[in-house]
Amino acid sequence: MKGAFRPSMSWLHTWAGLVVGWVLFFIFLTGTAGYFDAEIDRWMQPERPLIEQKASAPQEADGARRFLERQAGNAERWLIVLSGDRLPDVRLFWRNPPTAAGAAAGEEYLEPATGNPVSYRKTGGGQLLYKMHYRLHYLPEVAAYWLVGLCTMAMLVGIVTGVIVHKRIFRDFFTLRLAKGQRSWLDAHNGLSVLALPFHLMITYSGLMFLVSFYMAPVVVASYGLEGAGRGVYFDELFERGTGVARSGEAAPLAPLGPMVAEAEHRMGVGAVSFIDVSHPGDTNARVAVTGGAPHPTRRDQRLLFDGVSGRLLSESGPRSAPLVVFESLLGLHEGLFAGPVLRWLYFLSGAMGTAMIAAGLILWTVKRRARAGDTTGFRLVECLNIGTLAGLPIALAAYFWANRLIPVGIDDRAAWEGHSLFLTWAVLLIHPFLRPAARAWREQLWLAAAAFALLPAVNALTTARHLGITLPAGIWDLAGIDLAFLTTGLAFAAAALAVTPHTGSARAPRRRPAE
Amino acid sequence: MTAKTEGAAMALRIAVGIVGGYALACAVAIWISYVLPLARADAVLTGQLISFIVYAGAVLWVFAVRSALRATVGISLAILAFSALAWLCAPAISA
Repeated sequence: MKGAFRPSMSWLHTWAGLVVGWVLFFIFLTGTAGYFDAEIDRWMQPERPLIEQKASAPQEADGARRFLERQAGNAERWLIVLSGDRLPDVRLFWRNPPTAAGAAAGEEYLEPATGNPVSYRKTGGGQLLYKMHYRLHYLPEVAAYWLVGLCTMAMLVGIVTGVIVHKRIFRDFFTLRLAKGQRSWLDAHNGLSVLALPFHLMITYSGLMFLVSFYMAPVVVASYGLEGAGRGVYFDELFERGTGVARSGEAAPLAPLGPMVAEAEHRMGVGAVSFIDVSHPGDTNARVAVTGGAPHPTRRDQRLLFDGVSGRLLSESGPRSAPLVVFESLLGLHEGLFAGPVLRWLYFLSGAMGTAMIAAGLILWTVKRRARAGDTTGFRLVECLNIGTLAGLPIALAAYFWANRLIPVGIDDRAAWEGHSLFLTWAVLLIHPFLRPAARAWREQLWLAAAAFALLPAVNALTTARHLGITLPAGIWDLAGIDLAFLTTGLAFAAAALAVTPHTGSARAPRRRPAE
Repeated sequence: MTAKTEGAAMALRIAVGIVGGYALACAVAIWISYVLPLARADAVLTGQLISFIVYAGAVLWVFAVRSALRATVGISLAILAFSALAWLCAPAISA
């Protein structure tokens, strides 16, 4: 049955892609924005100083410790994340003993220079967008993970079958027939797929690896048993975390953190310490783990373990096993935390190409079937979901940024309402295409997307002192870059809207019209 | 073949691909984690690293073979075979 192989793979490619296409578009769009999470965080808190104040790592650690002793002196564990190139704050997290009254855990962000809590507006920031791309916001965690896993698996099948179906990978690379209807959408889908194929494969397989111990839990159970503790033993063995000591119950003052951080910087390099993990602070069995290292695709962080009372260095992390290096490299490549500005833009563009590839594939499905199935319910459903997602979701994303500037500062649940603004907008835009002829719905939503993005820098200028008139002369590129990206996105949507707007009395060649 | 039986055959393929492919990926990963001469945690991680390649391959195979029945029988036999192998290779239970 050799002759039927390619058609069956083509069938699988089409339908596996269609049923998960809209969720994948959401995952790729929010995940791609997430490559600039820190920059978006900063844009969404315009109260931040133009030039962030820095402090040395030992100073930050001491400042964090002063705050934690006041606010979380009885906690069983402190986690201190020091500031970095793209992280302006010192972030503190603590967990209280299970027996204690009150909250189980707490967190606070400090200014590095003063050690005081930050008082910027509450926002979901870029972190919420990044988190959405695997957590899907409203769904329960387990449901979200399985749904994302299923969609990612379909993406993997889509990539492999896509490669099988296309006989002429390299010719596709150089083929782009513009303004030829179905052929143009096919060329766009192929070109975007082939151009960033290594990225698509890497991001999809590594995406599955983040939650592999969740998806492939039976493999862990087969070696470590069914009890919940088995998972903990597995991770302890894998990451050689060693067995933690228990609290002795006898009080002893915690040694100063500054010298331990200085010792770590001596080994890892100044500025390379990323976080400090203190267990049992104020107990004779206190332990301080200092982790850091230059950012690297294989996430090769070093970890030093200190006695928390004497301040003596107890142990140093050893070399990692080969499987662990492979695993961590997949995660490191997916996150791209090691990337400098140029590589970060490349990540962003690759993600944007993946997003556009999914969009072109979904549009191709409708363009191919319009002539013979254009009046069926199924076709209409796909077309409306396409309009409401491919144009509607970007508008909803813009609404998230509009909400950040327009929701009054200080109201309850402010950050949550930014997120609700995104999903309320998306819901309205998913309904809208069902009430309009398709061509008109495309036009209206594309123009709305153009306006929603292009006006964002203006809204920013009217509501804050962090607009292009200030950030450009000052050369604050991470802030100016966000506004400029909004403008560019707005112009791109305007071009798309123009392309689907009929030109009366124009002698130009017919343009591609995804909806006609 | 009528449209109805064709639809049922496709539904069977989809179910075998998603559920059977997953079961086969687990069985192969467990077998790998038992036979690799590595530390226990490293062997388990290696099995997991490979599992989704097996899963994707199984899904492709289910849709490439001639009939849905053949796909069902083939995946079931593969699951049985790797489960049996894993059973035979399972290390003595240690506390």
